[in-house]
Amino acid sequence: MDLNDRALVEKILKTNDLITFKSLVRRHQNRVYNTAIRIVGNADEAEEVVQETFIKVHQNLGKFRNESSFSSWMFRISHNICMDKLRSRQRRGFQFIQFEPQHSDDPELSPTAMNQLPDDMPTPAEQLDAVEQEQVIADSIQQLPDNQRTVVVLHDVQGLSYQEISEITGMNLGTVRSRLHYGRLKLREILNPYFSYTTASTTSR
Amino acid sequence: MNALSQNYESSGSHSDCEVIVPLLDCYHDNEIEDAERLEVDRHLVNCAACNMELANIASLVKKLAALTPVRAEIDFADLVEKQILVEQSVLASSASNKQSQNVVSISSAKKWLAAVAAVVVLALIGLQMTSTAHHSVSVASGDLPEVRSIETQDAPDQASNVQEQVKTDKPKELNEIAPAHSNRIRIANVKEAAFDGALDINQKQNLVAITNPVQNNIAEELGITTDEDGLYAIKM
Repeated sequence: MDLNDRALVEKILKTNDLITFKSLVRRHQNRVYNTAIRIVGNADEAEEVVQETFIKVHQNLGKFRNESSFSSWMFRISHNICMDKLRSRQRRGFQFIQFEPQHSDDPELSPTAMNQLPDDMPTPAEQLDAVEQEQVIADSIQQLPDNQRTVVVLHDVQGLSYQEISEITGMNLGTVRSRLHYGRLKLREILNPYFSYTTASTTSR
Repeated sequence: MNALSQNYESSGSHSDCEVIVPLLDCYHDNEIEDAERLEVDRHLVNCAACNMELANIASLVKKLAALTPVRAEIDFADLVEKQILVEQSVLASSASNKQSQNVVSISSAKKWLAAVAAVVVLALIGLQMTSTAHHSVSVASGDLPEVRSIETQDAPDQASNVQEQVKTDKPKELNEIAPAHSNRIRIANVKEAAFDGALDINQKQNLVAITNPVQNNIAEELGITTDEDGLYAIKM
């Protein structure tokens, strides 16, 4: 019988059984890794995040309260480690490529990005195969500011709810909403040359 | 003025759109309050720009959700298990190190106890011998000018408090040791004075110094020595 997370945690706490703990790791490792690599942007650091996450989970399993789901608690640990990695990287002088809207007085929108669709030529997206399209999207996620990227990844890639994201990141629901909104807006600007987002300028009411 | 603003103007509901657009993401995600949902619904009936905006959000979210999950090529369960075992062994070894440190400190305390006990025993023997031999005994007077106490933390139960009394204004005095009535030992510089043989232990039980005025040279030696008459002295 496949035990749920809570039952597995209780069993581990009772028996201190590493084999049971390993089954818990195997159940969640891909989600944690997938989230980490989308947030920190490289495989080496993502692997470190996964290992550190589960070691901390093991060390602090006794502190886990059933107030939140196990996955939320685990993702909170993982999120904190990701943020530590990003901060450490910034301290070491790594420069992130930050997205900046071009020629726009409105910080939310860029007319350049919205209007630069060619008419007859094949769009860059049409010239990309599926693998390349995925790479373009993945790269564009990396261009978001850390806090927007985190929310976009947790919601749109991992499918977590606003409430879960709030619990994991410690942001309030309004901040989650706002960062998701601006993160998506920036992603659309970045991706607009590749994926033509139609605008209502050609559509009448 | 940007494109979306122009679109809002063309739809004739610019001010409404500014309010509605920030709500479209949570509207799409079904994470919106009921009152806000009604407001957005009403707006979308007549606003092509916001409908297009909503379609763009849906398109982007679909692309993001369709991203192929990145799978690690390694099994983290085994790696994590190894690290946990290493950490546990490190913790166990550090705990055993602490225990061994405690053993060292105990044995150190025992050394002190043994040393103090030996001194006490020797002093008692010396005292007993003086009671049988008819030699002069000097009894320390209570007017010693300087007293310095040394607390020994390692041996709290026995002889934990050693008081060293130093008499500085008498350069030719002997350093001698005498047993005390409790678990204390007093080491004193005692006057080099000839007594007529009277042993006043009952009056000054806490400090008795033994000396032989005839053979002062024993004070020059180190450690505990016995002269030919069986008297004891310690060179400090």
